[in-house]
Amino acid sequence: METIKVSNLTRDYDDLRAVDHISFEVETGEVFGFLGPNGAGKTTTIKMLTGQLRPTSGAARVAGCDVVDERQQLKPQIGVVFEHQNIYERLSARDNLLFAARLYGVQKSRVEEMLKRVGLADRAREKAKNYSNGMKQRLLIARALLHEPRVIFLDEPTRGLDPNIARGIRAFIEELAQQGVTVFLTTHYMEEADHLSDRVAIVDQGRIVALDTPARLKVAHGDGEETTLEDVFVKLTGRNFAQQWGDE
Amino acid sequence: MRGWKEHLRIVWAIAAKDVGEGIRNKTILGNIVAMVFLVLFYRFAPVLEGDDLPRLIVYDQGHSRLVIEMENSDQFKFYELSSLDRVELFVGEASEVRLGLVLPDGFDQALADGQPPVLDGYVAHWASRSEAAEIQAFFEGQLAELSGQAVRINMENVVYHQVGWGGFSFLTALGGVVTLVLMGTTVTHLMLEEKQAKTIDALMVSPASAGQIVMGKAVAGLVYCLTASSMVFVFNAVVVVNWGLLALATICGALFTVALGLLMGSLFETRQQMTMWGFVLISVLLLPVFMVIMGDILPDVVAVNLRWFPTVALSRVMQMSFSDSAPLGQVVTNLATVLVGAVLILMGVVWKTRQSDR
Repeated sequence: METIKVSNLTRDYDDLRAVDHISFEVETGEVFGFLGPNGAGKTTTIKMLTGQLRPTSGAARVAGCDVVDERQQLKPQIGVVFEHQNIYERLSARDNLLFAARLYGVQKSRVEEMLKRVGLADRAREKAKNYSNGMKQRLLIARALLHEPRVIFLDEPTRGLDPNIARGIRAFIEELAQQGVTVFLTTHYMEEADHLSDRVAIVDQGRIVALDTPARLKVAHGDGEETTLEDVFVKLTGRNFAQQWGDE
Repeated sequence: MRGWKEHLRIVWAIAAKDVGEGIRNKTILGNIVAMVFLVLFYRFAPVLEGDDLPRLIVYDQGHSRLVIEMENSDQFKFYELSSLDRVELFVGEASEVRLGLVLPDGFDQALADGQPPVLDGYVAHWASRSEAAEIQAFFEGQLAELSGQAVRINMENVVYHQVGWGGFSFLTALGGVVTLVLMGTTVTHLMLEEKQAKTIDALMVSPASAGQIVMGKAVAGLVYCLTASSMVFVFNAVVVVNWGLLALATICGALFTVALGLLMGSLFETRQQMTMWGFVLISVLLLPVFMVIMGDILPDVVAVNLRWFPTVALSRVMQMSFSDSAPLGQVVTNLATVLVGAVLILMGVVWKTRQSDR
């Protein structure tokens, strides 16, 4: 059963078409990797799927809700870990989560549960501005999962983190999928996408240029057994980069 | 019912977070400290003047020879004015307790007959009983010394502040308006911070709607405005005659300045914009309040039309609450001016919010 269903989704910014008639479905409990170079339309797509941005045309349903007409119903069904570490830095981790708990109408006990789950219980009273990047990222994940959403959008969740923290977060994502949470993941780390994703979509200039399991993509677009997802990615999207580099 | 409960829960969650976080915000704290300093400064400025000679303001109806004696006294400062209205203005506008005195026609003859009349004394309404008794005793002593006879002063005439006067009461109203305007900009800070830290994105995907986010900020702004303005009026409680009217004016004023803060918060994207335009806006809002007390030198058309400026209207209602008369028509007109201003600005906020809401 699909949790995300996207049909011909398009978004224009003035003369620029950021997302160009993309269509795909994501099954419940699936980890769906959404990969692409910078400016390919990943974040714009996430913004449309989370109801932050109105599509220019096309339609999308997430957790059974239309992202345009049923935005308010959609909100409790989704959790979002943003590209930026957008937490209230003057507040402690606990206060950040308590605020989210009040917004979502979640019991306070859930806050303590999430603090323990992401390993921040011991430093929950500290102001978030004193946290390391890894701790902030864990706090963001705790906030996104506080209300037990059916779908979680992770926009480059391991960017800039040390390998230990990144590994912990990847393990967490796998755990979520096992629990039946649908994960929509964007990342620039191809190994991460390969390891975590059941399927990946590669987008370039707003269009999906490939969509399949990592294994099948490697077979379809690779040159041999040693082909990596990064090779596929570069093959499908790197031409543009090479052109741009050459132009400059 | 459940919908309303949820609505209130979300608005209150945002407001409570903003109030709590605002206390930790240096800019907002700076605003509060500046406001407290301002209030303390004008409240105690008269004490800092250093010249503590009592003031006597006289309207001499009959060209008394005693006036010359008074003018030459080095025990007090003497001012002779041409009418009782001027005496009341001079007494009412003062920041320190002054005595207004009317010397009636035939006063010298009454003195010569050994039967001086009880003189009508005038003192500002905010003077305490002890202050009034002190200045009464002082000037009864001085008059006795100058005239060679015991002279009694009737202190039952109290001068209430009138809209359009300057002085202590005007400064208190001005302090209230300045405080509300400054605290209103707190809302702009709150909104700008959400934008700059991108926490607004997290709010927008939460169950909070754009309207609830704006309302939450507005409630936090109202808390700041009402708390700060309460401090201003508690410090200056002596001037307040009508607390109910003052509370009404303050709430309407807070709605206006918070609406303005919301509008700036929705329009501005950077702190530089806020600093530059905020300064211009605050000047535009406060300058007319100063200008109205220069009514005599302003062209009539300017003086009349300034009354329709929301901050001027707000200052007028506050001043009415320091007076013994608050004509209903004027109260309603002035409050309506403030509220219409608030509604027009809120309409701008709603328009902008809907525009930016995806």
